[in-house]
Amino acid sequence: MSKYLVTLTPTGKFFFGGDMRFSINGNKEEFSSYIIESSKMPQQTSLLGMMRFLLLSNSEYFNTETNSIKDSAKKEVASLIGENSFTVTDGTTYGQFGKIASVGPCFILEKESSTRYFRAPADYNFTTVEWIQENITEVCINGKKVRLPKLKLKIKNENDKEEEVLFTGKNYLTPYFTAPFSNNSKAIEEKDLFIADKRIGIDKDYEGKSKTNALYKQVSYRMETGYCFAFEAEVDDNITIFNKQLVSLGADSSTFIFEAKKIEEIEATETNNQQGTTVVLLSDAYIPAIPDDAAYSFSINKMRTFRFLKTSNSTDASYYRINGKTTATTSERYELYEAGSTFYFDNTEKRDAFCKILEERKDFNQIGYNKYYIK
Amino acid sequence: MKYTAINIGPIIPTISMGRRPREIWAASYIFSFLMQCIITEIKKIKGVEIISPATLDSKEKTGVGLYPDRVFVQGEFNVQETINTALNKFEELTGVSKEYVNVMHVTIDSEESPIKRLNQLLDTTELCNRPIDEESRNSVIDILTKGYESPLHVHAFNKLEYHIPFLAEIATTRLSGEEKWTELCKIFSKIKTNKEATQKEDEFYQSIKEQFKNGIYGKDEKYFSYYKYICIVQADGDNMGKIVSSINADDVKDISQSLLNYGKAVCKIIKEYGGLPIYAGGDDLLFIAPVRAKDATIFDLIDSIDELYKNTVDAKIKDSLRPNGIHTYLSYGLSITYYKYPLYEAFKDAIRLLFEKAKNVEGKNAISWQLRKHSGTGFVGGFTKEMPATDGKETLYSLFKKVSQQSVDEKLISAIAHKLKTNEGLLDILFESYKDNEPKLKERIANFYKKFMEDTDDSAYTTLTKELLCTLMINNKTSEITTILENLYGMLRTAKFIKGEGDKDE
Repeated sequence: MSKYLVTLTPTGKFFFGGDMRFSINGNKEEFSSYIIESSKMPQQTSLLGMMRFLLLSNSEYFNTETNSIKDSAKKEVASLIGENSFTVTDGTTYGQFGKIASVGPCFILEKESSTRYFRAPADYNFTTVEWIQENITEVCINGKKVRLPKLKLKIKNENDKEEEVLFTGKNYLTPYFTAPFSNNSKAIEEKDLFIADKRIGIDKDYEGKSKTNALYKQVSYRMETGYCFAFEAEVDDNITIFNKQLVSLGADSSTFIFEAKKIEEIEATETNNQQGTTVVLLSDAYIPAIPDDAAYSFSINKMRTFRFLKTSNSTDASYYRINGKTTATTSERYELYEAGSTFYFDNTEKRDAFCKILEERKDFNQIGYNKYYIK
Repeated sequence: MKYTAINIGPIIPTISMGRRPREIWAASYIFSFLMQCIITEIKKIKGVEIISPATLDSKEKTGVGLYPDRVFVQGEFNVQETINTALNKFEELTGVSKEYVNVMHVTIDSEESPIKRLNQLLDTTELCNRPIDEESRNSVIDILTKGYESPLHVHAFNKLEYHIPFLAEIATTRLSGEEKWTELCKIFSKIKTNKEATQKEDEFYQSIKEQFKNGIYGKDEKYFSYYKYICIVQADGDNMGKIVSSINADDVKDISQSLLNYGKAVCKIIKEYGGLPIYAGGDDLLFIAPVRAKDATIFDLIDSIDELYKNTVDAKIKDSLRPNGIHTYLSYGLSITYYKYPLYEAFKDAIRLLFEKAKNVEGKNAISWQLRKHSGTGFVGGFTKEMPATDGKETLYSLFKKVSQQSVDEKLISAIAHKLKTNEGLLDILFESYKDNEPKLKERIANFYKKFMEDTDDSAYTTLTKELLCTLMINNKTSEITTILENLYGMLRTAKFIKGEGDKDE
């Protein structure tokens, strides 16, 4: 088993899809948003899928002419990449992905300095986060009592001078990426890493006819020069042989240059301040329920919708859509806490109970979700 | 003395699920109704008083969400118990799971500006979100897509069945006096699915075009492209927060009552114009409207709303309550889009135009708009309605309305725009040299027009554009000339669109 640092350098614009489709009243009327905006970061499930396909397509068990698994090779393929793609279970078991043991959380790598950037903590914009609030009798959110922080941030006033003010809903909170495990404390604004590429398109079917309601606007992104996506992975195989290959990730022929470097140890992504009572998510997290003994006193967070494609190895499956057919199905819909979400606790006991809940989800942890650090 | 504020949501994410006017209406109404349930429970408690909002009589059915997303209460009571009772009733009456909605409350002891403090504290609570399970989410989707029959209609209109118009109906309201139009609109009644709606809208427009061709609407009436466009308007009061934060609870109650009266009246105006009010809570307003009604344009409607707000709200505020003598006005974000353009995106555009553009115009009291053509081209414009024109008599806004009453060939607008663009460098020199000397600038621009525009056919129209250009230059001294010319071009193209353009590129 070896540990690798995998980098994915975009060759151009890229598009990472989200949950744009839903059906109504259980009938199959599905429709999607006409304005489709890419996520900035790929899903962890997409990274796993990319890795599985990389191993499969480069193996002797794959017919590159038909883009499908060879008839006789089902067992071998299962050993190589597992039988199924990611599935949500009760969380008590790891998935079986053959030679791929685990995938770590995705981050942005600054190539020159090797600095690793993650989504900044959700309270990053605030210059003051104080827990003393005068005159408050009670604060409740959805029936639960919470402790409300006093939040302040710096803005430019009418005279164009910076002043620290109390947060209100009118303040825009700039999204940043920070390097929590580096002594370099530089933060990068999201808009300086991801450059929007907007296009109007007409959706055509495979016969070249425009589909009904086919007009759409798509917002893809390009990455600023000098940066790439990266993640760590444990694989029981040599994946450096795939270096410089082009891999697909996301939609619309988003291609990336794959490179892998063997590393001795998985870099500690959990540098924790043991006395701290604030937990920050490094990656999106699935937390279906939080009991009272693990309850946060307050949280600054965002939710994101999570769906993924479910596939199983089949010699009938074609790994390209032809005539619109594919054997992949869409999963149920989940809601995840977004990376950067920040949770504050009254004491280290509650903090630890919460962290245990994050860690206990083996299915999500294995592929890089539910990662956190304490500050 | 205790003060409590209760906040509900998630309003914007719920409205984003809507694809048709009736779904957006339902998404907005859910929250107004939830607030109504909470207020009903609070009113039962002795010794507490609602400061804001003012409340409707329980039998009054306005068909629009008139309650905002926050209620402020004076007095001590068991807040969570009251909320729980209201949530149970809400769930029972609508079928929407109480696990879907967010309800937060803050209670403080008496202080100098309780409303201001409570607002700030509630803003902080809104940073804390929770996941919504599929079942709860489906309960909302269910009610949004009820269509013609909905329990929400019973609360809003006193009947289960109610037809909320489709975009095609709203966009063509100008034809509503004609029997043929009314008959044609019947194809929209009792539509169940969005797929069916799309098909019917396409059929509707084919029939409308045919009717125009056959002279049904009068042989001089033309089929213009604006029949296929709709306006989404989001409006918000300027300086209302500053005024309310500095006054006592009794005075807040008076303002709340004024706002409720305004809310009821503004919905009436919008409906009379042919629009569909979605929400009118406090000083917030959201509606869908046609570009043109019988004898008015969307800008005329905005004028009427302004006049109503001035008389019903601003005029009712005692001078002694105005910090630094400020007044409250309405600023607007207006998104004009093709009827097939995703409704929620048009709605997001309107919000963005209001809060990122109009609210940042100096002096506020502004309109910021965007006309997004089906061909993909777009025009933007925006200004404070008070901007004085350089002729000393008009405002930029009144000049713009004059321009939109002119029939003018597209070639003339293109010619004027081309000449301005080609000579941008010269205009920049004139602008930078004379922007602080109004008479000199006017003289120079007049000379410019004499030299470069004398071969244009329509002197009245050309003169108006000259006046617009001077006014924009004098009042935007810190802008770049490119931005000024873009604003001017956006105004001219929008004005022409509103007057009426052929359907050639649709």
